[in-house]
Amino acid sequence: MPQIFPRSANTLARFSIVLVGLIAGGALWFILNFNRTTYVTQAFVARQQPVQFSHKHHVGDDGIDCRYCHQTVEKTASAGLPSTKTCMNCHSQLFANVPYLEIVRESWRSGKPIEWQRVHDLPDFSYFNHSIHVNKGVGCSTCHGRVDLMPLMWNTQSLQMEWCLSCHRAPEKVLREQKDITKMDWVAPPDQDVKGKELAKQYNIQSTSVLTSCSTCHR
Amino acid sequence: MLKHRGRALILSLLVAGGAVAASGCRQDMHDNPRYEPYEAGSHREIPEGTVARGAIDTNPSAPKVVQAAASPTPAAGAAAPAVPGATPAPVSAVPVGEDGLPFRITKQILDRGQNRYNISCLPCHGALGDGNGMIALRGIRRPPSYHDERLRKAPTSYFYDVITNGFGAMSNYADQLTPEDRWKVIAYIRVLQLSQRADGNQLKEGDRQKLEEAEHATEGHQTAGGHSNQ
Repeated sequence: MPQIFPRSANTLARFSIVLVGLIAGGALWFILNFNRTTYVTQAFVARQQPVQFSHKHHVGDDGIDCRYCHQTVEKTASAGLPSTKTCMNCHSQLFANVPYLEIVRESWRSGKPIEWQRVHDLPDFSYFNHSIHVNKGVGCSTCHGRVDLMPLMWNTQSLQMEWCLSCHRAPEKVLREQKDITKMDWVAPPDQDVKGKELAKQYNIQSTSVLTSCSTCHR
Repeated sequence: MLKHRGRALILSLLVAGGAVAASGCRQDMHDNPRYEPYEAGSHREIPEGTVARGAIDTNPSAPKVVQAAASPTPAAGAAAPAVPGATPAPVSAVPVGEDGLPFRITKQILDRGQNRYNISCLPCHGALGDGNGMIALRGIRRPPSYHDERLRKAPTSYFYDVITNGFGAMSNYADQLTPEDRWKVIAYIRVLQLSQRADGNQLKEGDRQKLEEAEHATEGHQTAGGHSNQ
């Protein structure tokens, strides 16, 4: 009876071991990186809203502070969406007759809130509080990007856990003074290495082991 | 042998079932069956007569002044009653009258006032309080300048009333400014009023120098801007 496998089958067998490793590794690499793509995270995908609201116009052109509308950002977990009354502070007079603001006026007349679409949505098992970040020197643009350049709103970050941790491991890289907290074009100064550490001390920022502990965000 | 096979089958079914269940959990835990803040459907009409937490004394009447915050110089004090408005300076930061702020002014209070002013008031009233804010330039009815005679003479309680209840084209800012912040903003408005009428010669030497430098810088800037426009 002749041999079933020729001698060359040994080479094929060795090669197939390597090949299986490559395929398994490649699949793992694909899964990990696929989950980081903007296709999955929806970063940089503009969201449609019921009203043609432009942050670029209100923040960039008019220079209105973030906190004029997002009033609770310094006090509560949620930054707060403006009530229709806040819109009407100006739009009872400005663009008072344009058709695309009819939804705002209708909401004002009926008392029914405008149904804004959420852009930044963290998983419900992660605890997030705006006020602690803002009060400890993490500025708006650090997470939300150049909102003053966005006609429609989009994420500039993945909002994934590795992104949260990248900051919680080294908060001093992004800390700024309170006077710059809503400054849109803030960039870290050249001496951020020194300055950031000073600010971390001044803000009483917890140690990295506390900031990266599971129960800090998963409560 | 058969027994072993049965056990393997049960085990693999369990693993497969567990995997399916876990993938289901994943989405459920990302989006719990609960309302997010501001999610459509989570809004409720506030029942009539509801009092928000901490809002019980949103409207304290302006307390009486116990002590004048700034004492005017004798000369100005003597001249003021005779010819009101004729003496341009000095103007006391807080009007000496029946009306005042419910606290003694400190740097922290003014800083907070400036901070809140820049958020809530600056868009219309402008950084100087002259009514030339961006929104006013966009066409909203122009607010009066704080440096008008009428508003310089107005008691602090008048400003408190306007912030709380609105006035003319201005809607109320009771939601946006807490009572405490309203008073702090008013304190800062007094600073703005003083800033446009203060006598530069009364400043300390160092401060006056800074002011002159700033003036020169602005002039230079304007000239440069003018040239570049031509």
